[in-house]
Amino acid sequence: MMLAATEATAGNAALVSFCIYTAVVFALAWLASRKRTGKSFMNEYFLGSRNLGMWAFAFTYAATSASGGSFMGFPAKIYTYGWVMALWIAGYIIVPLVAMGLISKRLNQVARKSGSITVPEMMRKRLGSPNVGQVATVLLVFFQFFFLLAQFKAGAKIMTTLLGDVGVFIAAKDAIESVLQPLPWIGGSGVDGGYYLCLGVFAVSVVAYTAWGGFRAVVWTDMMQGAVMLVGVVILLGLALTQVGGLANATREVAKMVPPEDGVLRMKVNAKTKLSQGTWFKLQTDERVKFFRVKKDTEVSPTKGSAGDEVDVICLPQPTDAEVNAIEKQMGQQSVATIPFVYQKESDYKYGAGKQGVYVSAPGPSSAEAQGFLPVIMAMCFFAFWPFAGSGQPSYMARQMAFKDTVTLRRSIVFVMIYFSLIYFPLIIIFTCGRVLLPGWEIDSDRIMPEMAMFLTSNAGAPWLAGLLLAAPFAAVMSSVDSFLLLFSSTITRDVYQQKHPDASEAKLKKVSFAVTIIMGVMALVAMLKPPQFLQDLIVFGSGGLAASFLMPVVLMLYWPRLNPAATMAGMVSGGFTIGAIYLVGLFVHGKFGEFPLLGLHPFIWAVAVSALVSVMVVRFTKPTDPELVEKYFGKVDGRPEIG
Amino acid sequence: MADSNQRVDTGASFRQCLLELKWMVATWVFFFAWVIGYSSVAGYAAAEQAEVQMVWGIPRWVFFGWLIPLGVANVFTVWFCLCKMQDEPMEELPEDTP
Repeated sequence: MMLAATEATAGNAALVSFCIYTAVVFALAWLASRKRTGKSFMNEYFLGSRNLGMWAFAFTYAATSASGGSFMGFPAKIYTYGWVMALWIAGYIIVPLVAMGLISKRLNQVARKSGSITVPEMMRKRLGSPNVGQVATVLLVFFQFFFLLAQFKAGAKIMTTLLGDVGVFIAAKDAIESVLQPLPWIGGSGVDGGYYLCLGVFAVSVVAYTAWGGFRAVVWTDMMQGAVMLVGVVILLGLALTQVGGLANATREVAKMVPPEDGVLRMKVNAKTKLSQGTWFKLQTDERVKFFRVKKDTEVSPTKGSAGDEVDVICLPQPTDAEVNAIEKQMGQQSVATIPFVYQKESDYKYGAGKQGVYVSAPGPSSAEAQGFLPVIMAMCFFAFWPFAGSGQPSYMARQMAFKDTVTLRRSIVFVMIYFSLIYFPLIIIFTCGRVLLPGWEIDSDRIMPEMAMFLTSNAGAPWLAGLLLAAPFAAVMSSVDSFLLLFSSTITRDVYQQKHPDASEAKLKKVSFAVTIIMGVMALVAMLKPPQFLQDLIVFGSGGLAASFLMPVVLMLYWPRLNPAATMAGMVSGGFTIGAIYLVGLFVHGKFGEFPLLGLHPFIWAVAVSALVSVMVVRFTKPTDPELVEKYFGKVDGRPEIG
Repeated sequence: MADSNQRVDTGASFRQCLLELKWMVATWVFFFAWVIGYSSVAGYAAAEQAEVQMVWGIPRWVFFGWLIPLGVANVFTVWFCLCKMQDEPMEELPEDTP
């Protein structure tokens, strides 16, 4: 009863925090829409009149970068693979300098000189080719959409946990489930009405404030969201370290852990029994104890045969003392009658099964790969991926077009460097502690962040704090989604609609941009009705595809006067195609969507190499660039255009 | 540091940006060699050790292969951005043409 009361208090507090947070976001959107009055719609709505100062530029860059991946996917991976994630994310130590510094100054200069508002527009004008703009638009929309999808799932997942114990939410969830269960595709006994409800609320709110407020609203909300993320991480870190008994204790405990097994429990019941996701079962033998955790909500029915009904579980075959204590505490709070069962193991980790120390060393445990989660060659690839893929993201490029001067850029890089250090290192510590405090979340590892927030605050006797802590990942998700939606809106309005209707009025352009924002939001919502398991796979595919398509063509466009339209298009298409093809091969080989390390290398490396090679080769065999354009963007050397 | 009223010299500005790009790529190569070089030995060897070796509660290989480089990268970034990178005058915006 005590626990139920605490959870309800936490749920209500979370609901209040969420409502306040949403109200502030909408207030900022309203203020931004007022500020727009009397200015050029396109320049102000999509680039904030290119007048971002240090705080605005730094926060919007950092907040857009720290997405649902940082606060949902990344924690899930830390929880699943342990300390090796420090090596996986190690490239971030140089991300602000490389990702922001590599092209920002030059990009801003070229965008200003050409009067461009979007990345495809800048490419089109710099190279004097409408075809380049069209190819860039198609690739941008395609890959950015995958990135957007992951954020929608993350947003819905956070809200589900945030509101899980609120009475109104539970009633609405039950009502939605009763409607959805008979439906094909999304229906069935395991349907999660709460997820669908939250997905809908999230989509409506983020689409509304983005469409209403434009770039300035997105930047202002990013500033608030960036601050919320930092405060949230600092509080979480303090609570996690206190409750786990210090970092050394957490690392020692994690070092003793072994990966879980997948299996089924065969149960015989006399009446229909509902088992919630996360329900624990215990098997005590003379030698050792084993724990089993139900993977998803399941209904067990009486069966005539002797085998009994099957329930999918994970098994903790050698729980440590800390895991035993944590699980028994949770079992004391669950209300399930004793059910006799037989356990049958179905699969084991391919690397790390039964082996201690795998969570504190490289390559980390893996259920899919015999060489472990992060072989050396993949660690190398990721060290290149984070900074250079960051340089190739059009959503960041849009921000890099908007800072007001180079002093702003220099100071912002320093700020973002410190900000990232204060976010990513603590996250690794927090979710290493999470393995000790909340065992068994391999069943749904994407939920570990909200679950940790609720757990830590309830234990600290401050359940109201859960609302603030959960606002951090929610802010991260929102700040990315709003930027991506605006990117779609600007690209389609400027590079598709305005190309066909150059004399369109501002009122018409406004309507088109609002419509695009809404349509993209609805499409993402529909696509996420059946979400994949790991958020991070979608994010890595989306960001990898964008970087593969844009990194080399944009870098060469900015720094290589010889680059021509044919080479740019070839570079973009070959990069995008290569990454798509490698993922497809992975889908056929592994039977699931995810990174496929062809010859041990990350698809991004192949794609960028192919893109660079194709661009350079095509330049050699095609017409040179218009000398007037070269002179305009590169100046003259000894009275002649710079030819590189 | 650039004067905001200074006239834009496109060629000089381009060459300065190119020089800074070379610095950044060299910096990445340096940290790549440090982090991957050290961790590819120490991090993978840690899998075979019976006891986890720690510094301040962090596995030793993470401390020397990630946390220390992170600190050095912070210091370098501050120096590079505040002392090495040059300011450039910004272009006036042309009239809006789609």
